Amino acid sequence: MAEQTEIEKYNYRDFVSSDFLPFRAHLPVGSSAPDCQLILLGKNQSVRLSDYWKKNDLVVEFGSLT
Amino acid sequence: MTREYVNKGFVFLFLYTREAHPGENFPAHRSMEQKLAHARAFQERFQIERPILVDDLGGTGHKLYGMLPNMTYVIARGGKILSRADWTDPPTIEWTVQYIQSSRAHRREGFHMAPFYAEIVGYRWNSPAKVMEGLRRAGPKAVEDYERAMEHRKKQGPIPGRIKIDD
Repeated sequence: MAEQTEIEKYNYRDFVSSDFLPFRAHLPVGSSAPDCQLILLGKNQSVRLSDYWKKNDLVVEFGSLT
Repeated sequence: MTREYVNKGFVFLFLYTREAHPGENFPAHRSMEQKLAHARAFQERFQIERPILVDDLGGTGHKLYGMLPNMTYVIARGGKILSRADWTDPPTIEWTVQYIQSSRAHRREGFHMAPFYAEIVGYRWNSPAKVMEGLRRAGPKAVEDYERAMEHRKKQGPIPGRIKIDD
C-alpha cells in the first residue's frame, strides 16, 4: 500500500476522534496569535489572518461543512 | 451576534478547515478547488454572512491553532489571545465580547482595571438530531464512521478533561 502524504494524513478519509486535552496547553490566553496565509472565499484573494486583528478585535471560528 | 458587534470594533470570521466527517457527498479534500467548493457549499447551506477564510490543503492555520474541529479564538487588536474554547458555543462568545467591551468602558471611565487569569468549564447545548443531520449531509460513510467511533468511545469511558454537570 502506498504511503500516505502529509496532506492525506491531515485530510483523513475515515473519521478520527479528536484528542481535546493537548489543546489546554497549546496557545494559552495571553499568547501571541500565530499568523497564517488564507484565501478569502468569494474573492479568491490571498489574505493574512493578522490583517483582521490589526485594527479590530477578532472572533474566529474554525470548522467545516461536515 | 455578528451584526450586533461588527460595528463595535469586532470582526467575526469563519476559518474553513478539513472535513471532520468526510463522506460520499463531501469527501476528504484532495485539491484546493475541492476545498473551496465545499466552503462555498457551507456558505450557501448555512447562509453564512461572516467572511470565510479557507486554510491551505495541508491545514497550516488549523494546525497552528490546535487542530480541533470547531474551536473559537478571541484575539485582541494587536494579536494577543484573549479567550479560546475547544468547541464553539455562541452564548460563551457573546458573554466574552460583552465582557471585553465592558472592561474597556470601565477603563475609559477611569477605573483601574487589573488583569487576572480565569478558566471555565463550558456546557454547550448539543442536539444529536442536528449532528446526525450534518452526518447524513456528508453521506452514509460519515454516519457509519461516526457510529463506530461513538461505540468505541462508550467502551473507553468518559472523555478525559470533560467534567459532567450535576443537577
